[in-house]
Amino acid sequence: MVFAKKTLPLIVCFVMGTLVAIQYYVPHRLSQSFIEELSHWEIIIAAFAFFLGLVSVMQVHIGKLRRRPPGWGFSLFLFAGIIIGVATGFISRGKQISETGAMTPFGWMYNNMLNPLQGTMFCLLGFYIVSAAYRAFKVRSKEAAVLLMVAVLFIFARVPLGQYLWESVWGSTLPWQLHQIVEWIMNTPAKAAGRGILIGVSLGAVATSVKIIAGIERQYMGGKD
Amino acid sequence: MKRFLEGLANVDRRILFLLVVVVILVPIMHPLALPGLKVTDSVRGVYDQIEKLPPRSTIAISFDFDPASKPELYPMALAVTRHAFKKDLKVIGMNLWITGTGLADEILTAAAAEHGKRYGEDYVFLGWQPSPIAVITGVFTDIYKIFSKDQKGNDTRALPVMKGFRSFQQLDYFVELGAGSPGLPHWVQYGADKFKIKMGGGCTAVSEPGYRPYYPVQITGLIPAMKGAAEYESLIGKPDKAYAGLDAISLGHFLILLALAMCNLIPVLTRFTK
Repeated sequence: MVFAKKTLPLIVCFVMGTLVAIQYYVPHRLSQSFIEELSHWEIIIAAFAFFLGLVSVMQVHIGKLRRRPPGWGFSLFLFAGIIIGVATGFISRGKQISETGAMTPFGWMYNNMLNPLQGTMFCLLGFYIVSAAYRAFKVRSKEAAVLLMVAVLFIFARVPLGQYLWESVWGSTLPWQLHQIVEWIMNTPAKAAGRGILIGVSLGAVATSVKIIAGIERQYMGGKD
Repeated sequence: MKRFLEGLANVDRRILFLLVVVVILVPIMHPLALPGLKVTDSVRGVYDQIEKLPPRSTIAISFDFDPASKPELYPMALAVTRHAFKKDLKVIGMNLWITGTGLADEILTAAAAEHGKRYGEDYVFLGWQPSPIAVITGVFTDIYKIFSKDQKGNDTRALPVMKGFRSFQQLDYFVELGAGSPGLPHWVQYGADKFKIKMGGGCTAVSEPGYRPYYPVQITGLIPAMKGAAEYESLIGKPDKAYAGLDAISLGHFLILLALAMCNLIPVLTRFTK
């Protein structure tokens, strides 16, 4: 039992992790075939993972419906969404437009429910940014002052009207135009900092991967041991 | 005066929300044609690559976004697809975000109809498959193992547009238009950079600083959000939704500037007012 639960997953992880890492640097046909086959497997496993995820979500929300904690009614909406979504998906065979060119029920749901709902959620951000800028962005320190200055500079430089106003005021009296200054900031110090972060994150990911492959990091097996 | 300033400091947030609605909606309904749009080098980096491809070259576009980021990415996706069809390129469409499948299909169908392109002969939409890293790795080795059928259920290998095509390694150019993860970094790391395929990108405004390190080495160009899309629309000579949204972007940002100024000026003025 210990072999199946602990040793076998560690062996599979070590063998597959090592092979995939080596494969990246080997351009041989055999190496290509291996990664092709592995990608195929991964997609099949991911499809099963979706099913597991669905079962898990249902278990959580069935529990909520039984216990009826505050907000349990939202679980009803979740079930309605899953059932109607899956049913219309099956009826429409996953297509939004039928062979005759008419919109299917699945297409109708996508265009008239998912589209506006997701759009609405995202656009709320705009309202809160203005509200936060009006109430919370007080300059209380040097760092906040720098942040505010950069924000103002970028808004002027990145928004067409800002560029136009800046050039109308300063014209050609300055050696560089504002958008050129901001492009330089984006392409030189900001990019250098971005690359530094990216390299740091990548090195961290490599270190974590090596720990997982070597069996030192075992959280993925359930967090014990 | 002091009471007025205090009232201004504690203004109901619903008034601010109403201001946002006015500033965004009015210019969309009645375009003001505000000046100032300049085409940046990073947007031109994508345009130039597509522009110089000979007719019947193969280009792939991955539409990796969902309806939440539609205002930022849909216009650029439409502009890039229009450009590809205008240049008579063969287009392979796909996506890594399941909720974006409908949008990608819509964009390809609309752009193809405008240019009289036929499905299966001039373009194909492969659709979505789970496990993005496996999909990226797979399309760069053997596309038919990942997408044996297209979105419509046709045998992908049998489509004329796919004749002689085995993997993304044969692409003349690849464009990734993404709203997050999985997106541009994954395509760079697992596909385009490894197999030395020329690639361009498009992203949301908030992602742009994060993707800049890849430009101009790993990606030839980057189209940032609606402003980038408007620049692309102006390059292909077909102003559309992004161009129409520029006024709203300008005024919306100036409202934020005004809010920032008020936030910092009101306490100072209150202190000096009897």
